[in-house]
Amino acid sequence: MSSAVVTFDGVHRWFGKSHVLRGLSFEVAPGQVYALLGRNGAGKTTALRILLGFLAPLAGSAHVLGRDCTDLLPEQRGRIGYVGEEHRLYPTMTVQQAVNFEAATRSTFRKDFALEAAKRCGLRSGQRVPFLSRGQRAQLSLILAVASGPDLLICDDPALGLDVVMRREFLDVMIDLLADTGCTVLFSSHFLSDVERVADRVGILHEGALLVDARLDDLKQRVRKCIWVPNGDAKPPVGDNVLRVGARRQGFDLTLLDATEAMFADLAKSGELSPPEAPSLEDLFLDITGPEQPGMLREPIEQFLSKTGGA
Amino acid sequence: MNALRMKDRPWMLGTIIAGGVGLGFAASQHDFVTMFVLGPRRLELLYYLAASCGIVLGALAILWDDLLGTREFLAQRPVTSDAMARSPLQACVVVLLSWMVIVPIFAWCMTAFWSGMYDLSYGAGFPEILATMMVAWPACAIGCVAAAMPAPWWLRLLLASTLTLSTALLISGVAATDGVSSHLGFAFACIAVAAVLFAIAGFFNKQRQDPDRPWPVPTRIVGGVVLVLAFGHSLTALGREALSNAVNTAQWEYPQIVRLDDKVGLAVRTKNWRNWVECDADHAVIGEPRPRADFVEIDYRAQRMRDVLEAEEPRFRDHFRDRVSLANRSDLYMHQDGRVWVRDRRRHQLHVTGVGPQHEKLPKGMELGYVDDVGKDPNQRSVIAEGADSGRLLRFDETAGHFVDLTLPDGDRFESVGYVREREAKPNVGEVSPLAFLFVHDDSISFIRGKNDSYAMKDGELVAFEPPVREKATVATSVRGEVIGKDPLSFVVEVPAHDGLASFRHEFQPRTATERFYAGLGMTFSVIRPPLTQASCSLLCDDETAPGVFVDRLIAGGKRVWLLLLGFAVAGVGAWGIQRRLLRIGASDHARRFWVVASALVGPIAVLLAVLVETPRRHARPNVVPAPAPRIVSVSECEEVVA
Repeated sequence: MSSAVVTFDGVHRWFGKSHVLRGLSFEVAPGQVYALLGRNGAGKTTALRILLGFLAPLAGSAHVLGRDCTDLLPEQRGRIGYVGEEHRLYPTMTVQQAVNFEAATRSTFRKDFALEAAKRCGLRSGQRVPFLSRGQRAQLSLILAVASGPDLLICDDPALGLDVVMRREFLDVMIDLLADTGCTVLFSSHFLSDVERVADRVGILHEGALLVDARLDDLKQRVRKCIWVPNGDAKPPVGDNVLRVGARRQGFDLTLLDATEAMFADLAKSGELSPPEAPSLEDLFLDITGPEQPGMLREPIEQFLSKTGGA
Repeated sequence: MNALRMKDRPWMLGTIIAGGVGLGFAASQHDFVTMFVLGPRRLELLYYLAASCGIVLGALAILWDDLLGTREFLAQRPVTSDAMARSPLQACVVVLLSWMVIVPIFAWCMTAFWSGMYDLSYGAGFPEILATMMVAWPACAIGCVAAAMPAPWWLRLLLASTLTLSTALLISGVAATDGVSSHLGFAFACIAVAAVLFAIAGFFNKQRQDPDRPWPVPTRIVGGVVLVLAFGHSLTALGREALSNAVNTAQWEYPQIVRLDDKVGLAVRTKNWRNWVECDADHAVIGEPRPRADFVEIDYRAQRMRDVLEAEEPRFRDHFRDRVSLANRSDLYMHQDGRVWVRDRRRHQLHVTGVGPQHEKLPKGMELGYVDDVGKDPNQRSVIAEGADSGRLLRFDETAGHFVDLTLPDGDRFESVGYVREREAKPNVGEVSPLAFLFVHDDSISFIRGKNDSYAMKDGELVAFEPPVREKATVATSVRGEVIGKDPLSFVVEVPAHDGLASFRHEFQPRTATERFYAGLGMTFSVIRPPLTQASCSLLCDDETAPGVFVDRLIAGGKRVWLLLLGFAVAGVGAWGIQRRLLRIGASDHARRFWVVASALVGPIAVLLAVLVETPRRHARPNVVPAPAPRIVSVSECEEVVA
């Protein structure tokens, strides 16, 4: 048995004929901030909904706080905070009423903390929810989710639809509220710069399967990007270390994993090699999920190279 | 749980106010005297509006969070599923109770305001209003059940429709055995049905079923049984109606027994219905069409299948007429217990009146009515109170302001009030052409029918009145045929010898192509009825006049066993077919057992339901190929813990 707060173990899920999750497996350790990344339709929201018990996996299992997600008890739900994609709150309520509702339904909810936090965010208690801006609603959702002191906070793309300033503000509030709480966070996002600011570990989901499940600092150490212009008819490298070979007008963009010094020496010998550097998360994400890429699951790199003629 | 009630407050408040006012207006459809002095016979508008409001209320309560998009936000509360499931049902009960308080008060105030009468001593209509509104309870529960059922929207709508029909038939059947519902009986039936349905709604509301997965066993047991009962009952009732229509139409196609010239025989109507034509014992037409007037129909009472879809609003009183207008802009009102009031329409005043100067109550069972005066003033008429059982007749003396006894001449006994068309009573109006009746004044005039003679009112006096020819002809053809056999399709009619004519006997059964078609159609509807009800009908149903949904008179009392066996065979084939289908789509053993048993007992209706409910198991794909492991993986930071 693992100490993980969240465990996905070979979870499959279909919607009709669409295979949305294809054997998803990963774990989130206590106190970790885990970012689940992926393009639209990659299966992020489905994974989080399965975790919250709103959907059942059709194969495999998912556990949260040590309990099967299909059978969550009020006890576990009380320890989970949830911020949904669209920050759904009761449109018939005011900010004060929304806080009161949370306080009435969650025994651990800290009403004073929530009202104080709302005040700091510029939310007036008499403001009605439908008249809040998208950003204000996101902030209120986050405050409500955090004020009960959850052991696990699940956020489904919480910054979606916010402008740059609001997004930054939202993140600041999130960091501020969660500071030193030891709360485990699992969130999905499209904004990779935000992820780089807060996440300890990232999972990149593509077409229902996890391509990356790694610590952020680990990624920065192990992945290298360089430009290689071969001499004569030298072929680009192939193998497990090569994540991507992208054709340029002259030469190739290479994204390499755990590349050794010997490998760089070989490349330098057979062509001109730019200094290897750690790619940004956004670059890495594009390299492995971009539409024009061979894909790490769909097509072996050899096949891709044979199609493009090697260069 | 009060906390959950916080989010329900807006719709609760909205429905209490909107429903209370709307139903209050519906309960104010009569004037104050009819509503609260006499008590209404039935409140049709209130009944249907309460039923509609109930369904909307139930559906709104369950679907409120789906409408707002807050279902998952709510589901994430640390609240037990029981409390979550109970909360909307309890809110519904609060709203319904509020309606029961608001609507009668609102109706009293509204009718008192419009009638200009504010007399707190009158409240006769409250029991009727409250009893009529009880229909909102089962309707609300139906809304809850249909909205909470973990099924696609179209199946929920179908369930709501079938449950509505089914419960209406059930409540109507329980509460109105003799045509008049008792307040308590109707209320009890509504509450009992609502309690069962609320319990089912609570169960469904706890299930948050994944639409891509089949029902788990408990849901299939409850949901499947509810579906089978609701669809089974309502479709059986509809099928029974179709069966009745087909059998009655076949019987309608049979020739009529008629007296023509000097013999009794068979005849059928021609297509234009103006002429009749003789036919032989095989129902084949013989001879030429002749005018209808040449034939005298001999009536016989063959067994017919009664309609069963007669669920309507409850009728709490069997008054024929409890209000009549007087000449001096006043109205006369009579309570069912015999109390009578005169109301001046201009002054809004209500005066007690009755029989004689002492204003005694009218005898029980009397009805108010009019008798036309055929004297000098053609518009004059007298208000009477008639008691057919007691043979007593009273006339309201407008000058004295009370009822006086009206005695028929020569010691004759009052029997009924008859009506005759004015042009029949007065031949000088003239029959011009077949279309002329459209342009001729066609009012009927009323007369008094005594045991010995008929009387018309002329200038305030009763005079002997000669009934028109139509009335006499009815008496002349009173010879009836005796029906032997209780089957609606095959029976024998014997007409006794009379007026010098020989007796006549004919065995009716489908003989022509049309008759056989309708009989075959009826038998087809019989075959697809639930075998369980057919078997019990065949074995137990001896009283063939019973109008129940489950009575099929083609097989009742052990008749046509082959039709019963054919029904079993059809159900058996259906059960086998559904077993094959469920195997093919990968359904569980439980699902297969459930639907096979249901199909064997309920027949094609259950087969249809099984096809609708048990959809192909998309989740159960055998070839689940796991995705390859991630290309980039860091070491897990989770520690292994010894359990």
